[in-house]
Amino acid sequence: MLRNPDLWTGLVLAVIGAGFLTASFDIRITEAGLIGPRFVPQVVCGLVVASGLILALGRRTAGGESGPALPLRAALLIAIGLVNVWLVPRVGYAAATMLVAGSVFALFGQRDWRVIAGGAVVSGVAFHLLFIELMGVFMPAGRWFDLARMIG
Amino acid sequence: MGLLDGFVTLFANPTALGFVALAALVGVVIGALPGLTAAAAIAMLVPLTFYLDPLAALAFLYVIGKSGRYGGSVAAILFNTPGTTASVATMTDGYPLARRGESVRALRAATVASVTGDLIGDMILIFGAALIATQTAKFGPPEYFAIYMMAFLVIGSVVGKSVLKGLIATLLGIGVAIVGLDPITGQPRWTFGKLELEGGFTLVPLLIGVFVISELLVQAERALRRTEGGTVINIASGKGARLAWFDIRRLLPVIGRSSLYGAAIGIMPGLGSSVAAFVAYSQEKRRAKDGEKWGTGVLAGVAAPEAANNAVSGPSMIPLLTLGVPGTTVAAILMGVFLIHGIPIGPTLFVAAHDLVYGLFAAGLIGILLYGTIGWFFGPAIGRVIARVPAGVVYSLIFVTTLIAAYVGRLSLWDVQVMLGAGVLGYAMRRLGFPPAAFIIAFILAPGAEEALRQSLLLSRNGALIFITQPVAAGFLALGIGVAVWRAVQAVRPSHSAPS
Repeated sequence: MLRNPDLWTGLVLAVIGAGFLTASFDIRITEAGLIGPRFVPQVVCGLVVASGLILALGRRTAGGESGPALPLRAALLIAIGLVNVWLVPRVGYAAATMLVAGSVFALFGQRDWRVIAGGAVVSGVAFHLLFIELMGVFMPAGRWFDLARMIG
Repeated sequence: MGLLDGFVTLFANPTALGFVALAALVGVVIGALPGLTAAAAIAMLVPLTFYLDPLAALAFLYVIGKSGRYGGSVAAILFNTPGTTASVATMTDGYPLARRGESVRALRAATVASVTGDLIGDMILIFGAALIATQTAKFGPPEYFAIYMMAFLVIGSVVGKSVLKGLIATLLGIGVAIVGLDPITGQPRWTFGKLELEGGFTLVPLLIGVFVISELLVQAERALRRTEGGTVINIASGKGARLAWFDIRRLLPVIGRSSLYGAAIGIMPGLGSSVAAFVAYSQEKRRAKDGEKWGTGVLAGVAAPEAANNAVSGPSMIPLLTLGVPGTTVAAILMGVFLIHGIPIGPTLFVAAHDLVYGLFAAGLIGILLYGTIGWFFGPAIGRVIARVPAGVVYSLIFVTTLIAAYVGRLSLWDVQVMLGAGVLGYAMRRLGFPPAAFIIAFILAPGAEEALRQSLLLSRNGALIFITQPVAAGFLALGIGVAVWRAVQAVRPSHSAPS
């Protein structure tokens, strides 16, 4: 029973539902009384708690897609994304994109460092030209340095 | 007359026309890429449409949905890999045909079936939607709330394998939609004092995260030996390349019936293309005189699922355009685009945005003819090119694109973080068996549902009984509860042996 993923998923859902139900009492009741801003959040939380408990304690349901027990590569991809969020305000979009693109090429199996480096540079330049120059998306300059502004 | 107005509107807008042509090509290529669904691609391209007028934006995404459904057949036939989930059925007979040197014949049969199915579906949409909208325009808040509840129950219980998990995913979508300021009173709800949460979560980062990032996470786990391209089936010339008129004539009854299966399934929220494709395949195999040969390379085995798959596209827009309830993921995304451009969705749409709606219908028809032409002449070439590009490169570029796509909407790096978080959530949902589509559709519908509920209860003298005393509202609620109960009973019943 302890190996049943539904047990743990259901318990986590019930805990999350209970947590948000508690937080919903911070929502002020207005002149509308019961049918106010607090009503739907509390109903939803109650249903999440109930369905979480049913999932935990009920019959095992159909599972999802298979995958590794520890999705390290997936975690690494998310980490690269978060690094991008941290890098962009510091080194600008073009440089951040080059670093991210190179890392992701490597993560998805590219082993030739020349392809990784070349692909990273081309990606950084191409994405900068397409989104920042052509489409006019505003991106603030990097605080440490900004490659695009240094070049042109 | 409405459709004629639509063609005039479309042809008077060269930008929209250009984007329809681009969408026809882009959708075929995206659909042919294994692992990237049309819905995921549309989610990623939504931010690019912020800079377009409403017709160009909607037409672009709508036609990608259509051509993407067709594009899945290219990968299914040439690589024995379904480009979309709906093309798994096409693979069953398509790949054996390709191995026999009849790949072009199979691709052209898929093209004829897809175009015909899509046209039939769109005719049902064009003539059916306006008729239904005249009735639904009379609905008030109780009816709308009942419709939303029906949508939550039907979609939550039909999408995915587990009814309970589907309904939980629906509840989670509603919960995420609640975060932010209450739309009526302005009270902060679940913001925990964080300024970024006061604006709530926006659709685009969630969409891209749940559909695109989650898929990339799955592909990253499978990427260990993915740098080389796939093998290419030898594209035959000569006899194996010709699809004769005699072949097409024999396939027409199969295509006609399968299109009707697809259209009927498309109207019902939650079912979608893959259900339609498999239903059509199994029904036609049962009817066929040479049913025992299906699976070994029979042209009808390609035509049936492709016709049904594409016939879903038009009718799936009917619940969206008439009730404001998206029945498929693509429809949900298009609903988001309507809202982003400030166009109220629902039965008043046909009055308030008549030219836009019929322009969209016209764009759909033009898009069908364009992707059919592209597929007929260039399908094999597209397949050859895709086979040579390493999948890892494609996925890497898609990931880099998502980082800017999530940023573009509000010029906010917070939204990029939301996208990544939604990607983790989407990945967890897929691994644990919760349907992400139910989550997203519930997120989109929740604000409207809450508004309708609170308006109804404020208007009512009998509290919640208003949903039972109003017959139309009671009918929709009963339908939703009925479908959920039926699905739950089916899930609990021991399964019989599956039909061959």
